[in-house]
Amino acid sequence: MMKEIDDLLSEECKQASDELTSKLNEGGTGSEELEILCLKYPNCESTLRGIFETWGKLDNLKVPQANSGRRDRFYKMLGDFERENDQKTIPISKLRTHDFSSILKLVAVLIIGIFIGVLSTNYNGSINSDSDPSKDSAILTSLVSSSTTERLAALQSIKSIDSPEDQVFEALYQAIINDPNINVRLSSIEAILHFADQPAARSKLIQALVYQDSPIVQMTLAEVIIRLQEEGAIEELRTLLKNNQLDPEVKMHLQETLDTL
Amino acid sequence: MKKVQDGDFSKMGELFDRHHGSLFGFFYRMINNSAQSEDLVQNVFYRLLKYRHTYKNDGKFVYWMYAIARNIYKDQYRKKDPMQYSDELSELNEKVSEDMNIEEHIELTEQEALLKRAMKKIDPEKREAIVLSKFQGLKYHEIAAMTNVSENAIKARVRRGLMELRNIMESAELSE
Repeated sequence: MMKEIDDLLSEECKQASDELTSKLNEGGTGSEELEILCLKYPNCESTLRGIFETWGKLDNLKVPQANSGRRDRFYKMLGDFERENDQKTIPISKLRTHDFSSILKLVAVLIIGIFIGVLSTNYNGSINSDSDPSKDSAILTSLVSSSTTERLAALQSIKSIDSPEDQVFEALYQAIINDPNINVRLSSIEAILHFADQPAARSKLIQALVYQDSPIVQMTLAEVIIRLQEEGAIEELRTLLKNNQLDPEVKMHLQETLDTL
Repeated sequence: MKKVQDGDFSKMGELFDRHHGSLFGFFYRMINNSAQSEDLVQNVFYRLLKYRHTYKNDGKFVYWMYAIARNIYKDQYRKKDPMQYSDELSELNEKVSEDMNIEEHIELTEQEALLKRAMKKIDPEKREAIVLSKFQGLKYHEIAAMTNVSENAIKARVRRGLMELRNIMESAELSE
């Protein structure tokens, strides 16, 4: 029905309306311009006045006062980020990326780093062995918390779970495909990679590929799949490549991934 | 931003002070939920830091910031199933009522409530064009460049969005 409103508008009135909103967009009240346009387009006066009035009414859309905790949260995030950045061995600050390809290279380096970490952990057999079911359950509950910070913290804790059960992989899989926060999704991939020696973990990574709509997460998953040499992902990759809405850069990379496998 | 790129993260505080209010306004007008808008604002600053190297100093910082804000919004609310998307908006509306305190209830005029309902009903692309042009101070050509569509397409979104808003509000007033 809404589309019909605009379709019923004459080309002249569309032109007049666009001239008016352009003036309003440039700033000022637009009152003078409205009168000029009403004289210029007498057949469109009602439309013009309606648009002008609605534009003015939008001023009634108030925004709540700033949350007093907003600044604290920001500085906590900034502090965490600085600490995290200091700990990184990769000279990220040297990189200047302007496109997906460069970001991808960065992601690839990070993933290789994670793999080395996972492999060395497994060889040393140094994974925490004191598994506590109630603690594990609490971690999984935090993973669906409404707070992004809590969910990120839960993902860090998940890495300490010894011999995770299928529900852990399912929770991570759900986070990868459904979490509203992109950083949580990426961290979920990192978390599941800690268990990459387990077939169930690898299977969830492959499944997640098809249901992912974020280009960066798609490319990260594709990169992971290459590193894992997961031939089981071929079918999912083919399905994904049929999607016309896929970002061209992602599509190219997925095709390369498929060719590699 | 150049200093942040060079590793002086303390400068990020200045950017936060300057832009957190307008970013919150953008998200709040898009989703009408305070708590979620707060989360999204934090997420923008996290990404500004994380992807600081992708900022080209020849561009205007605000465009880049809103481009990131839009991506975060899309990442959060883009769903495979349009019906899911619709449900999500309904839930948002319910949450708004739960989140409000008494003061907010008092301040919320009938007109504002009507506008909010109407804003929620229009297409997100039109809502975004209206919010960016009306409240965030971005010009049509800037929004066009940011959203990768023509300036005429943005004008059409604003025009249609305003006409739909008017129609929804008039229908609601008649039914009351």
